[in-house]
Amino acid sequence: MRESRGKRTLRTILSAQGPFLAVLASGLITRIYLFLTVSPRIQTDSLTYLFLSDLTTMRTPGYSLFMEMLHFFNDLFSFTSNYFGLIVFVQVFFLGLGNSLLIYLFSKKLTGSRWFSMLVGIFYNCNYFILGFEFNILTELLATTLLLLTLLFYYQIFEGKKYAPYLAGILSALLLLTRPVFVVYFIALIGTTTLVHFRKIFKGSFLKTHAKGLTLFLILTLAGIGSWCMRNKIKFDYFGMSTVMPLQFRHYTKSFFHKYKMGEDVELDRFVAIYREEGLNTYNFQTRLEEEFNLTPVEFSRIYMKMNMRMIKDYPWDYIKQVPESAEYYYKNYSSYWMTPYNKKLLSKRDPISWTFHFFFQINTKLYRNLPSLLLMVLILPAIFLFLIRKKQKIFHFLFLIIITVNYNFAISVLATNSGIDNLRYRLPVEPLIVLVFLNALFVLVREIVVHLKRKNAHQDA
Amino acid sequence: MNFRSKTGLVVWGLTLFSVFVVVFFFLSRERFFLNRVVRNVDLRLLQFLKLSDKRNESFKFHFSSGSLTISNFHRDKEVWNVYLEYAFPGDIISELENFEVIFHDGELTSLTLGHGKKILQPYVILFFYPKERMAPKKGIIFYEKVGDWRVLRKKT
Repeated sequence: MRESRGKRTLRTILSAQGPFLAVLASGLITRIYLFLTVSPRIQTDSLTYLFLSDLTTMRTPGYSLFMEMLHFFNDLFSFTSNYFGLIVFVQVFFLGLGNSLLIYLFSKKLTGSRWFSMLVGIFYNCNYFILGFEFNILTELLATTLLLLTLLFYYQIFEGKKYAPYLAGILSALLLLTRPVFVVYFIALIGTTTLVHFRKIFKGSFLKTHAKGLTLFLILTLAGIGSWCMRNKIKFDYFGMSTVMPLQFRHYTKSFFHKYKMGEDVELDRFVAIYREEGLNTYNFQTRLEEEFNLTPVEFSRIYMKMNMRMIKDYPWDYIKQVPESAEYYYKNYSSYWMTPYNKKLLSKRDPISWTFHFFFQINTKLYRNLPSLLLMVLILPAIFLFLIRKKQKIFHFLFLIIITVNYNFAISVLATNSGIDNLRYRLPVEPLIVLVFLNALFVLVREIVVHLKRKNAHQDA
Repeated sequence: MNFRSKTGLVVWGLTLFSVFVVVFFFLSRERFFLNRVVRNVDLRLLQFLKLSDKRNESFKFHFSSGSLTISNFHRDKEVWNVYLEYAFPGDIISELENFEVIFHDGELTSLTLGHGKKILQPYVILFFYPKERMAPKKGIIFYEKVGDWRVLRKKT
């Protein structure tokens, strides 16, 4: 019997786009289920991003701009009065779903296998830790999307795509304006490229081909940094991206602040005395300094930074010995903290979807909480993966960029703060990349072993 | 512009969308500002409710016809210090003059009208509308008993 035209078309679409559609479908199913169950989660930090006009030097404007943009269209077209619901809707069905498709695309680039990449995409769609952030009014999810897109378009500069430098530059600027931890990320990207294409840069025509694209990327990124620094300078007399650093460092210095040596700097000593009087409570300390000394928040931040840097300089060992614990908070955990009121219901195994969440939650928890599997996931397998594809220079470059991204975020987050659960939160923007590299490395390793065994058998048969 | 190229299509799409947005904005300016004011007030209420909880402080929202003043209670001096002022854009005004909402330690503790006059209804609706036409209206309903509020969905 002859197959109808419709069926044939469907079969063609499915064979060509089947894996992609499967990722899309799994993403939609899990997200629709969650969207109907979970209400927007508003944290204390969320409140600081609500109004663009409120932003001080502490926050960068990326996430506030994102919310303002959505609110603008909502005010114009009167979609809903559930303002947080709207933001979460966009986060879940545009950013979250988009991220899962990007992960599928990245995996396809790295392994060349559509069907395996489909599994990676589905695995991503069942990642409870990541999904939890799609319902939080926080910067992390937006940063994840911007990070994945920056990586993709930065890599495409070297594939000769004309639009890539513009998009990579704009997205990189938006990324660092969303999370200032990425302020020197562009240096890491360019440094990685230099390392990978070292020979070609100095002996070949690499620079001739890509100099224009890289310059454009660099200019746009620097314009992003410069614009916010200038705004801070004009409005607050502070030339910098953010004054958040001393607030991060305080978590480190708190435990040894009692060792502060008085008598070396009279002015600083006075502030330290007040800090101690306030029981090392930052909010009370800042309020007192602003009231008693008429200091602006920027002036307060300068003093607080000076105090913290002085402590780290005077007692480097007290700082260094806390770094491993900070790294442990960052990596050796897989938490459902950000979905707390819903965990019982969503991880209950009462229906196929919550059963799936529970199943993948258990796998991830075991991977992260056991030191051997954690080391395998974040250190050993990525290194093996790099070794296995060392001869395929284009993919090697892409993989190296991803691995550097993961470790860049790790280094900056861990060295800047050790604030417990927040450390885990800082991991979120690179979480999809950690899982991606791990699963892809496993796949490539197994594939290489199978090929090797087949060859060996064929050789023996011959 | 080449419609067949992807870039051309994207540029045209964005241009058309921008023109549509600008035209729509001018056609529904009143509605836009009304939505904006109600949204800003709603989000400010939530923001200061949470802040009062986190800092164990009291905040007062005072609505006069064209603006909102948010004050913070200074415990030592026992006075209300102005924290923030928000003039409603686009000639939007609120219906109730001198309406006050007080948050204390994360709870809505008081709704008053005029000079400390207590509201005796179980709820009160604070309507906003354009000054000249008095329509469309959009409001926020405050529930005295449960100490909560909600933006009304439909405009009247």
